[in-house]
Amino acid sequence: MNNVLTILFVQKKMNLRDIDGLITNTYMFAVITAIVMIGIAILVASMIQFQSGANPKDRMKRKIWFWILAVLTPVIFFVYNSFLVLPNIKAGPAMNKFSLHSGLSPVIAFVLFVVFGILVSKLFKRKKVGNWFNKVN
Amino acid sequence: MSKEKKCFIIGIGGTGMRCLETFTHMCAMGLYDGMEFNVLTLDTDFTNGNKNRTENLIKDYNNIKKTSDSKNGTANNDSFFSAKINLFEFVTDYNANGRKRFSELTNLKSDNDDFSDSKMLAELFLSEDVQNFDLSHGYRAQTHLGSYLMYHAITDLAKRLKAGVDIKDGEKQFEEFLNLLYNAKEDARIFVFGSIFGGTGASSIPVIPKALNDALDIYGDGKMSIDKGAKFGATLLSEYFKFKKPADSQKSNRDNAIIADSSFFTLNSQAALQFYQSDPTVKKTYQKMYHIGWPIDAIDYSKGKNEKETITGGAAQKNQCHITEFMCGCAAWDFFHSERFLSETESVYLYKSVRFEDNILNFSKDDFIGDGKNGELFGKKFGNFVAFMHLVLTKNEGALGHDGVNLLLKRIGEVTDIYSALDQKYTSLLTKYFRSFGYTIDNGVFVPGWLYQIKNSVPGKLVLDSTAYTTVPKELKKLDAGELFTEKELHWKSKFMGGSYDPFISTLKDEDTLPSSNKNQNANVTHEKFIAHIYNSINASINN
Repeated sequence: MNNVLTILFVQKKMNLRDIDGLITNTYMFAVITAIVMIGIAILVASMIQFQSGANPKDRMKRKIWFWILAVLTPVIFFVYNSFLVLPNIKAGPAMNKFSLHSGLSPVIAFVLFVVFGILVSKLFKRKKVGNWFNKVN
Repeated sequence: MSKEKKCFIIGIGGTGMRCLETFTHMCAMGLYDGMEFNVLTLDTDFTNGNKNRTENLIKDYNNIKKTSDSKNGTANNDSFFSAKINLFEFVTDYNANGRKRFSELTNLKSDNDDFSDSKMLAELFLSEDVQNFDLSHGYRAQTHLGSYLMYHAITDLAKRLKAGVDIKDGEKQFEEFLNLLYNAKEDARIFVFGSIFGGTGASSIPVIPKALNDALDIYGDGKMSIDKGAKFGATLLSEYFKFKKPADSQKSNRDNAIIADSSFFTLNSQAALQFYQSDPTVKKTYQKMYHIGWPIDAIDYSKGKNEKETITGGAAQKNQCHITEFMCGCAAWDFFHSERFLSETESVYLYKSVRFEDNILNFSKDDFIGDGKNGELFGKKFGNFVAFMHLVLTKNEGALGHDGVNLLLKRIGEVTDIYSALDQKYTSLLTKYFRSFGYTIDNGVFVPGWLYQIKNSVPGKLVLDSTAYTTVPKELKKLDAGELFTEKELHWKSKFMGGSYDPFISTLKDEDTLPSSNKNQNANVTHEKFIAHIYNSINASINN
């Protein structure tokens, strides 16, 4: 918990000693971000109403929004890392050690978002989220 | 008496055909749950537009229902298209040479003795014009001639069926119908649709029970007859439409010397009612007669058609449907569902009135098959089927030429492949059926189907809110299939700003609406399950 607070309300720059904890927290944040973004994706999917007619666009809209949020997930996480975390790490070995994870964690967030998306979509295939991985016909 | 009724319906003449059209739509609504009907269409004219329209409708209905085991499918419960209809056709073919006129049919023409009994008897009852007009367009309001000829046509066919020679394929259908009627014994319930003011129907209603009985007697060599326990019912439908008065120029040739004149329809109705009131044979034969009348100006079938001549029949006779025909369908519903008065030894005449005030005739759900539970049932079945129609034609653009049913099916297809066996041939057939029930838009022009034709004949409310019958494209676009009733408690669950379509599709995709959860529906094959699924979803969408 202290480490979380450290990242959010950091006053002084972190050195090599703090990096291990920061890495763990970064991956935890990646998981949390993926979960939050999936929550948003579910909300967006539910808000898109079923359309009638010969060419309903709702299924495609849900798919598009899913992938928009999928792309936004690593971007948001990368921006967060870049503007809130990296400036608080001392240049040198600490920065060197963290930079790999700084690049990897958004990818992890993205992968997790997609994996969660597939799981939710298959689990609730009768709901609107079921459209995320349905073939659009 | 065994408990299982064997139901027979006979539709006679143009009005009888339109009543059958209504009856078919009532079956599609699910008002005849679990029942099987043997339907005989009886007409003098195989080219008649109304006859062909009705028969095609029944054939479409049967194609919607057919299974690999049965060409007409099976009866279902708690669903749309739930009744099974077996169609039989019989045409008293007056188109062939030597069968076109009374004088030809009866061989009076070849009788050289001007004072023979036959000739003198014919002349006593039938004028020369009546003996010589073209019969292929029906009996033209000459009921004295029509009754004789219809009886003759039926018994004549029975003779030929017995002899087994010169039998056409169509005539075999009548043989099958006769056998079914005989085998039904005391469980037979026979209902006859027809008018009493025109030609073919008015001529046939009085004689049809006797004609069928005598036909069985002939066919069975004296060993077959309609069981004494069989019950007959009929509509006594008095005048409700009119058409262009025939001009003298049209009547100048022999074929058209006699043309029905609708200005006499009121008089014809009055005379017919007097006959039904006093004729002992009819009173003994029919257990229930449903008197259906129209208190407002008769609808003009010639209006806006720019007809040069009075249409006497043929393919051009394709008249719009009318609320009185719907009432006839409801009379049949009562006949087949109620045991009241069936044990009477003399006809019981039944009627029901609807309030007419300030030139407005409002029909509520309680005005069709009764109030209380029956009214609730009618409101539910009628409203739900109209909603289904709007889902297909309006929301999913079936009226514009798209396959609206297929689009609904695709929605279900997103969650299950249980209906993957349903091909586009089936869905387009169902969409086509809804077009004949509801409407189509052809090159931007609204073409009314059965429902809108019925509504056009009602100067007031017809069960649902007036918005349910809009023909304005802009309003149709905004129409909510879940808000067809004026009563809010009958609306479907809806979303603020979003209407009821979104929650309906959610319900459609819900496992609870699968027909397997309601075994009573008897939905065993894929298309029966699909229709039952839609039925369940619509029911589950209603608020309470």
